[in-house]
Amino acid sequence: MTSARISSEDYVRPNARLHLNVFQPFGPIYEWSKTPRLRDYYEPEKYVELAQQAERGLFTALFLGESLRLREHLGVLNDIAVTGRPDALALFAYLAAHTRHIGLVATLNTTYTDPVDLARRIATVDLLSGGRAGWNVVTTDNGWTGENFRRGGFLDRDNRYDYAESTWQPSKRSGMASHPMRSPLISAAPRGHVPAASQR
Amino acid sequence: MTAIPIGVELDGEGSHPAAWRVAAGPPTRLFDPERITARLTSIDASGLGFITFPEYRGSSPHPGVEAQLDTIEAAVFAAAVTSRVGLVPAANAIHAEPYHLANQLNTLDWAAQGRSGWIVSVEDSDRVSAAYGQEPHADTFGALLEARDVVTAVRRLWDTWEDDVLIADEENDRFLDLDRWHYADFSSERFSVKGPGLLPRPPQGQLVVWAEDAGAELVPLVDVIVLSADSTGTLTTRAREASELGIPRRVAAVEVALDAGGERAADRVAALDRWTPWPGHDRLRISGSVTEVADRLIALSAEVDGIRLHPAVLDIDLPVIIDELLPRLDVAGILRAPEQGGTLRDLFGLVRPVNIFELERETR
Repeated sequence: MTSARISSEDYVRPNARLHLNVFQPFGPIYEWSKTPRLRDYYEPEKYVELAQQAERGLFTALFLGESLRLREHLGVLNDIAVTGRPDALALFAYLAAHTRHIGLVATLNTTYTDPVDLARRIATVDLLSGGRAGWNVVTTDNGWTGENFRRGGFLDRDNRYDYAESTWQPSKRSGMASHPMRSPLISAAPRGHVPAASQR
Repeated sequence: MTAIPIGVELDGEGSHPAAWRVAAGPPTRLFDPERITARLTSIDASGLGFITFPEYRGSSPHPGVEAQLDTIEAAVFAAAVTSRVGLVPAANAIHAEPYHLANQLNTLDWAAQGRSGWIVSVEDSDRVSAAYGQEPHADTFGALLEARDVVTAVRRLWDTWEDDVLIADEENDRFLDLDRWHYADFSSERFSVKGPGLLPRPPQGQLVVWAEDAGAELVPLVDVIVLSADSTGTLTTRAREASELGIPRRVAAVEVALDAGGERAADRVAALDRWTPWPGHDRLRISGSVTEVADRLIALSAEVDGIRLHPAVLDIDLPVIIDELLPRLDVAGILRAPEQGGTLRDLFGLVRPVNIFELERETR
């Protein structure tokens, strides 16, 4: 494949169709004056309503963000906004049972998670959803988030992406039964490769 | 007679390693979500109290089917399609990131509305370690210390949001109450975790923490111990020992094979053994007619606070357990079925634990 730039003039697609994702960086509801039942901001059932609505609206995927440390302002926890959220892949196992068509794309960090765990967990969501899982690959660039992890030392920019790539490759392969790194913790192979988007 | 929770282990297609050969579907359908859902909903409607999800340990208990779903996600999926039964995944503490584990298990308790638990595995083999690019511990003691630190950190993370931390105080523009929101600040020789966790406290306060034959280092952290022994006598002794150590609840693990479809249990097992012998797991194994199995379980029920059945073949033994064995145990007065809207703590008669940070504030 060549790396020549493509302009819209030499790439005319009169019948093009767009895929639409719902991006939900935080919880199912943003404004905290919206419901008297405060647990609703974290309730898996509320995510079900969101996912079912998006599915009804023919969205391709529900795309969740991730943050692995709660925000602070001047060294104090930020208490003015809705913060925190369920674990995305665990939540997706729940949404898989309540939806039929919509894709489920989780943002998952390679800096603080072992490839063997990522591969097993993503493959599980893919199987339970009948092949609807996706992975948004991200890295983290600060030791502040790393304080939540045993293996929390962070890497400089170049090394982070090398590490992400070395995570991604075994994760892809360990979803398949023939990988030499094959471990007792690996689950069944996903339905083909799970699409992974790399943000850089 | 005391009524106790009776649960089931969902180990592949059954406890017998050849179970998949006589399963109702072909091996290509073993991970089919509809098939999994049908099994879960039949359990949920039956009066069985809990499901445990064991972790595959790579020792080839199931030749030909060396695959398994992630246990926590399998349990969350189960939460979506059930409403009464308790859901208890095993998850290894060795090499685990406590922050991830705390959030994943908390998500399970939210999804299951308080019906969940966690079996702390302490699996430290060469194969497990190699999968993480780590070395195994030099001895069991080292592994137990690591597990103790991981469980302590996870429990502390669950408490970082006190029960009434959400205030949505519009007048002062505060969604959360900083006085009821805490850093975990866990640290040990092995690692440290800052916190807070990512979700408000689990609906049960703390998930019910289980262990299989816990080492002494884990004892103070465990709510339920699963006991395995190959005779009722040894089980009884172990249950008394666990009681003396102060472990709140004791559950006996029992492998069962029942007469089914006009075939005697012993003949069914012999036929399966010709494929692959059923290895001894140092667990009580009972096979026979519904009456025979029921009588043994009724006798055992006086010695423990719960029983976990390991059916030889899920597709064959589970329907007999549900349709014939459970009603008999119910009539005998030993079956404590879960209630709609109840938690796993309710089922085992365990109280909701006081928050560590609340205690610290009160004793300051």
